[in-house]
Amino acid sequence: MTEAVRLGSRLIEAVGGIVIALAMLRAVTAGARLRLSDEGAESMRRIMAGGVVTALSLMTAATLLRTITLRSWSAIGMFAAILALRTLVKRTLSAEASG
Amino acid sequence: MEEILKSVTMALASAAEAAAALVIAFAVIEAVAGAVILFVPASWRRTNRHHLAEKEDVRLRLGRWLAVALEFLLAADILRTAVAPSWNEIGKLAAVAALRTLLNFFLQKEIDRSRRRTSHDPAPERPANW
Repeated sequence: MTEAVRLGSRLIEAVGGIVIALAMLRAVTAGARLRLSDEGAESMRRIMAGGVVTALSLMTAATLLRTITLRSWSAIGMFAAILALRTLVKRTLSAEASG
Repeated sequence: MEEILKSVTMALASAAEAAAALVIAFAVIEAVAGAVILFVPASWRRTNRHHLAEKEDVRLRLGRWLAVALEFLLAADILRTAVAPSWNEIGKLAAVAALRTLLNFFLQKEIDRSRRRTSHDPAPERPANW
């Protein structure tokens, strides 16, 4: 049971990693297409921010799933901190993207 | 299986960090080259922009690229905390996230300010991707 949950959360995290990898590829190609102008830098930043927000949603799901298997207070504190940080990062990133 | 996924995520994080390092390296080289060009007298360069605006261009361009690099570092740190959560990694993620947000905030402010100033300036602008 515990093993299944851990593996599932790892799989979700791997999908998040793939999302970030794809965002990196898209950012680099967009930057190259705009020939590294100021607009190119801006669109690279936008694309990376979008990829990070999507990946963060997945990572948060994986983290929540893994709280099932937590046993020590130290681990619980760490997960609480990670969860809080990720929520903050997601908030600021999506506020910047929409605003 | 779990080990493979772990090592793939770690490799991705390292790739994101390498991308950030490359971006910073090229941005610094470009900024140094731009700064050296500024020491050539304006009459030789056939430019009609104000000398302060030219300096600001170099500075803002470096700042823009640093913001791109920080975005890559943020991606790397998020991948790292997913794989091996430790207080050290969490602290780094917090620091990079805070830095990124602050740099973007002040950069946007400066870009707005320089745009407002140049809109009053009658001197013709150079093409954006010069």
